Amino acid sequence: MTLASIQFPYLVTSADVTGQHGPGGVTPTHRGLERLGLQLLNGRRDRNENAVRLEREVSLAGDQQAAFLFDVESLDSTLIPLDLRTRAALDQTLYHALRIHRPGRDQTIRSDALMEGRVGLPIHVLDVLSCHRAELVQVEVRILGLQRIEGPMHPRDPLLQEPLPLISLQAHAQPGILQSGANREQIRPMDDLTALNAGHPVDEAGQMAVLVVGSGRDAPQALAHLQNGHAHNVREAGPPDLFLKADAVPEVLDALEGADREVGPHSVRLPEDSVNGTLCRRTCGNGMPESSLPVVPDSYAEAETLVVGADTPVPGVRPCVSRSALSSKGRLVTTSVRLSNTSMFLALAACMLPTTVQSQEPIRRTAEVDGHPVAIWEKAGPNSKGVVMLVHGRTWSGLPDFYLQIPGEDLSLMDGLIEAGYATFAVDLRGYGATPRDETGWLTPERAARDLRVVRNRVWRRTGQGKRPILFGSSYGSMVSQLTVQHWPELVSSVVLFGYPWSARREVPVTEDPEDPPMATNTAEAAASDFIIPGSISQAAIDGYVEAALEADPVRVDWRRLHEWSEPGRGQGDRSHAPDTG
Amino acid sequence: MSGASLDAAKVTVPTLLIQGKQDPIASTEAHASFFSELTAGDREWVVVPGGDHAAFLETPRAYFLQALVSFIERPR
Repeated sequence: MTLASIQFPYLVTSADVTGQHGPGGVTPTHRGLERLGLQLLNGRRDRNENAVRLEREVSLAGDQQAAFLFDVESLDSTLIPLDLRTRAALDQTLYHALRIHRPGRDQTIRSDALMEGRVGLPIHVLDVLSCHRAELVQVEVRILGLQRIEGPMHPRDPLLQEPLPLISLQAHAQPGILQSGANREQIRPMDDLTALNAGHPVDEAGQMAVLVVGSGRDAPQALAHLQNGHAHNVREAGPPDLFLKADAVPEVLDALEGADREVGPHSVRLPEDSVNGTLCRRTCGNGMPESSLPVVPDSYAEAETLVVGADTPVPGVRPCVSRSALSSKGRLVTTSVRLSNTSMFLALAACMLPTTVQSQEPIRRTAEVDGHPVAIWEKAGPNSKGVVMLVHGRTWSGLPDFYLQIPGEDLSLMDGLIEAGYATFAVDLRGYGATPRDETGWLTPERAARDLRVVRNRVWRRTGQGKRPILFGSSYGSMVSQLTVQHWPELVSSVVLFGYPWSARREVPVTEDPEDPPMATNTAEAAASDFIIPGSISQAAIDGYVEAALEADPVRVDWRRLHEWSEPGRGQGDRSHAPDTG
Repeated sequence: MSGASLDAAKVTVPTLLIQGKQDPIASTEAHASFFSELTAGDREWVVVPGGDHAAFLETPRAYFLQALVSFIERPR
C-alpha cells in the first residue's frame, strides 16, 4: 500500500452528483448531504483533487462479495466475506465515505458504506466490493469526511459491539430542509458564538448547526448545557445524525500525517499567533496549507466544553474556525459550523488535537508503529506545565503500575504527577495491557525502544509540540527508557530510571531466536512479589494491585533477543543472564 | 539507529536514578557503576529509604514524588 497523496476532500465526487446509483438521480449520499444541509457546491470535481488516496491491491475470488474494512488510523484494510444478513444491514445504511475506483475500467462502483468507530481503532469504513471473476482490484479510498448513518447503526444497535461515543449533529443548516418532522424550530446562534464570531458573522436567521462531540454519556449534558442559556430552541432531534468516535479524531489526523513523522507535507502546524481571539481562518481551497489549524491556548485548557464557530460558506473557502471555553462539566466539544463542506471534520480534528484532556480516568490513545497499535494511557489535569511519559516494568502494564486506585489511599504515580502539575502518559508495550502482541509473539529490547520513540512522538504531537517530555521508566521500563534515550536523546528533556535492574557487568550471549512464545500465565504470587517491606503498603492496596495486574496482564509477555541489552564483549566475565524480572 | 545495547556512557540527557533502599533487584554496586559512567553531567542518584521495588506505591511515595518532581523542575 502506498500513500500516494494526502489531501483533504472537499465535496462529493462527480458520480454522486450525476446520481448514477440511485432512483431519480438521487444517491444516498445526495440525500444524506441534503438532510445535513450541505450544498453541493460543485458537482464536478477532479477525481484526484481533495481526496485521501490510498492504493491497495486486493484479490477477490469469482462471484464473491466482501466488505471492505478500512482503518483510517493504520491506513490499512482488510476484506471480510459478506453474508446476506450483513449485506442487508449494509444496504440499510445511508452513508458515503469512500469511493472505490478500479483503474483501467474507469468505473466507480457502488460505495454505500458505513462508518463504524470502535474502541481502540478510530474509524472503520465498510464498503462492498462485488466481483464476478477473480481479479486484482486496485482500491482507491477517498475519505469525504462527512459521515451519516441511519437505520440500524444507532449506537445502541446490536451491530455495534461497543457503545460509540458520538457526534450528534443537529442539522439545521438549511431552513426548509428539516421542515418536516419534529424539528421545525430553528436553532438560534449561541450567545457565545455571536461574540466569538464578531468579524465572522453568524447568520441570525439561524443558518447554523450545532454539533456536539463527546461520548454518548456526554451528549445529554451537552444538550442541557446548550439549553441553559447558551442557545435557544435547541433540542434533541431523536437519534443523533452523525457518529464518529470523538477520541479518534486526533488519531485520524495523526494517521493522515504519517504515524512516525514529525511534520509531513500536510501535517498540522499550529501557529503561535493564532492563540488569541478568533483562532483560525482557513482560506484553503485546495489541499491544506500548514499553519491553518487552531491551537488551544493554555487558558482554555481548563475548558471541558469548547465551542467552534464558522463563517459563511463561500465556494472554495473553508470555514473559519474559532473557539472559546465554556464552563461545563463533561468532556465535550460543541461545535457550530455552517456546513458548507467537509472540512468540518478537520475543524473538529484541529480542535481536539493539541489539548490534553482533563479527565477522571485515563483515556486510551493509540500510536501506530509499523502497523501495530500501541496503547497509551493519558491522564492530565488543567494547565499542565509538562509531560511525563511512564514506562512499566517486566511483568505488569501501565495502569496497574502507575494508576492503582484504592479507596482512601493515594497510590497512583499518575495522580501524584498530575497533582504536581504534569500531564501523564503511560505506555503499554507490545503484549502488555491494552496493546496486543505482534505477529511474532515476542518483544525485544530494540522493538520496545523503537515503539517508545513513536509513542513519544505521538504524545508530543498530542500535547502541542511544546516542551519535550520527561521519560520515566520503572524496572525493565528503565532499561527500555535508557535504550531509547541513548538512541534518540533529542526526544526527551530528561530521563528518570527507577528500580534499574541492569548491571553493565552482564553479558548476554547471542542465541537463536526461540520460535513459540511460552505465554505463561501470570500469577497472584508474582503480582504481590514486589511488595517486600512489611507495612509499607496496605493489604488492601496489595490485593487491589494483584487484581488490577492480573486483569490487565493475565499472560506473561515473552521477550527474546535479550542480548540486545548488552554489547558483545562488553561484559567483564559476569556471564549471568540478563534480568528477566523487574 | 546506532550503538545498540545499554551503555551509561551513551546517556547524555539529564538523568535521575532512583533506588529503593531495600530493592533486591536494584543493586547498589550496579547503580554506582552506572552513575559514575553516565556521560550526562546533569545527574542525580536518589536512594529512597523504606522503599523497595515498588517504592512509588508505598509509604515513601511522597518522598519519591518530591525527588522526582524536584529533579525534573531543576532549572536547566
